[in-house]
Amino acid sequence: MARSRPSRTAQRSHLALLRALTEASGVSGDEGEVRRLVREQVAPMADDLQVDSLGNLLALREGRGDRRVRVMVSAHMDEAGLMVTGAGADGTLFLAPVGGIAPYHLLGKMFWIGKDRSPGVIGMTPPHLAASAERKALAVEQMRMDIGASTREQALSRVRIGDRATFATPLARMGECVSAKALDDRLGVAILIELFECAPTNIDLLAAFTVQEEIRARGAGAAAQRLDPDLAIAVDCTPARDLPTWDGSENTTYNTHLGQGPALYTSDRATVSDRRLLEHLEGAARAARLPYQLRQPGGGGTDAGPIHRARRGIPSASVSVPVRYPHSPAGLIAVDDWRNTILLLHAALSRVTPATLARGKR
Amino acid sequence: MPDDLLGLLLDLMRLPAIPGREGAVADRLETAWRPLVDEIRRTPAGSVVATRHGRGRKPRPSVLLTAHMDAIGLAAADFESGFLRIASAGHMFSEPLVGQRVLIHGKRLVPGLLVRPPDACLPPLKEDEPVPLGGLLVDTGLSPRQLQALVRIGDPITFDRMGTQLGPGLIAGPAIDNRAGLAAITLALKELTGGTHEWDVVLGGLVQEETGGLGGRTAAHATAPTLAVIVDTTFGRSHGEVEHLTFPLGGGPSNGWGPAAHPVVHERLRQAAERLDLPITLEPMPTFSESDADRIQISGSGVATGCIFIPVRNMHSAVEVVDLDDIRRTAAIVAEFVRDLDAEAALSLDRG
Repeated sequence: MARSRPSRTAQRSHLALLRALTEASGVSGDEGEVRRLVREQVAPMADDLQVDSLGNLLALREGRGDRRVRVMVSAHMDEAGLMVTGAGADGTLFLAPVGGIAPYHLLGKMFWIGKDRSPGVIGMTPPHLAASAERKALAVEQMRMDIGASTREQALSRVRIGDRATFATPLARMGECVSAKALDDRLGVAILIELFECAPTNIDLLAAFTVQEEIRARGAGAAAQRLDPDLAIAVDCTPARDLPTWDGSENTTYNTHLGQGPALYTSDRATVSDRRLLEHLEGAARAARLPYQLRQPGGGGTDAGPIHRARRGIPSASVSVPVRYPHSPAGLIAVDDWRNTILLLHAALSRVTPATLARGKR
Repeated sequence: MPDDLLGLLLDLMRLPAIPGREGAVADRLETAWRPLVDEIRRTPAGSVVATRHGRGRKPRPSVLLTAHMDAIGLAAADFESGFLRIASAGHMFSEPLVGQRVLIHGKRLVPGLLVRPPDACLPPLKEDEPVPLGGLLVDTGLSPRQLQALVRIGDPITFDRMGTQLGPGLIAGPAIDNRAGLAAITLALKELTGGTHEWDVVLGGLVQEETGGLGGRTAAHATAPTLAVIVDTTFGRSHGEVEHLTFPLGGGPSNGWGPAAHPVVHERLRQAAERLDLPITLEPMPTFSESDADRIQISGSGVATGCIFIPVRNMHSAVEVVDLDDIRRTAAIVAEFVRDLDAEAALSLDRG
């Protein structure tokens, strides 16, 4: 298979893949559907491919020549969602959240449940029957999913206890943006697939499509342990909270801005990025004249957390695409940020040499 | 017998009609009604009014069957650095709006996303306090310049969500209030064309019910009916709702009882259901009906009104749920009620 450079624009095939990936269901612990899509894409090019006991899909693309650095790039396949935990006598389903979802995002939405994608809705008391003074925020455990069943037996003939549910959101183009569910981190998955297709030959690329990131990044550590890379980059999505404020005051907690390029991490709650890798990424961006931004340090975490703690410690950094409204029915990304992220990663990996991690630069 | 109710309902749900902008639904109704009626026209307010003559001797009494065409929606209220602020058209809460895909009906259709800004961008809220509607924004992914070239203040914003079958016979989606009612009176009209009726039957697809009832106020004046049956939606029972204020889906329509309903019309509707062996439930309306009946009853020199309401879950959200059989039952009861109207019936409306 020919190796080429990633394209600056989003081609039809890129969008088709992102559509398939985002519309797939992959709530943490149930990544099988996404894993099958990933396997279809990467298997023809992989020099080695394995799935570990957690469900991480690990694919190797060997470079050429000697002194190749082993570079792990990870993207998580799972998304935040719901699990069906039971059915009531009236045929409605009990639910539990998996990963961080604000309860207000669930009300009045439609969902796909289980392997058959049975439709369901979470309703709410009509405004006529609830004076606004009495309006109370409901916890997920107090909500019920309505699948149009009127008895417990009827409900359980259509869905099973333990089935996962995701927002029923098809991908849509909006201006120069793409809106979809689960962009966090199917966009990272799409980027890693594309990077695998046009992997630079100066490195061994160890692609890790990981599981269970949304429930405290439980999958990536085992992947790093097995792959034993020289360095690692986690490709994820990070919130762009760059919205106007209600009183016109400056928004100082934007985290990232949509459209201003890939977000490089200095640190988050789980990881202080390896200084050498961060400088390498910045240098690659400048050399390739690609925009980038520094994510505001603070909360959050990526697969770099467990990866950099694996084995004797693995130099790691994170690169994220800014996404508005992650963990909601529909997120939004700028196509330019997507393309610039793949271009930056490709440029940075192409320049990796053993000297990248030379001592002293730290 | 196949009645194509599903196709008609999904089609009506797909069409946008916030209060005051009901044209698309009005056109669809004209297409459905025209072959079945003797006259059809639009009132100055925008309602569709269609008459099918009865067999009785002139001057014939007339029965007006109404359902409103508009549904709750939003409108563009202000530009805010590339985003839109919204105003509501109709009564709704903010929670079910957050995260909904919408269509802005500007120079062309502009897809957008209704969003809740991060907490740091909102006025201080008490813990778990819902965001006021005015705090929400629409994100279109367009630049401020692109957005302002396509959208004007006041442009309608509707949910971008198709109706979906939710198990056998149940439909979920936006605007079921009151496309279900429009579908019911359309089915009733079809049924009436298969037989005979003494009275003139006037169908009214009415405007602006959700924002004050312009259609009800004016349509009754325009048609001067002897009596009117208002077909609308009521609160379907879902998990955790107060039992005495809600009605189970699949249990047939409710029959409103109170000042806004004429006791004889109420009773004749009940009897029509009984003759067909179909379920119908009395719905207490202690003061108002909260429907067009409130306006129609007092229009002109007064109209005898009856209220038939179809149970709908999650009213005024993008995931309203209705049972198709309840719509069919409503149509059958209304048609039977109309067939039973004879010369004597008009006299029975006098209150002794």
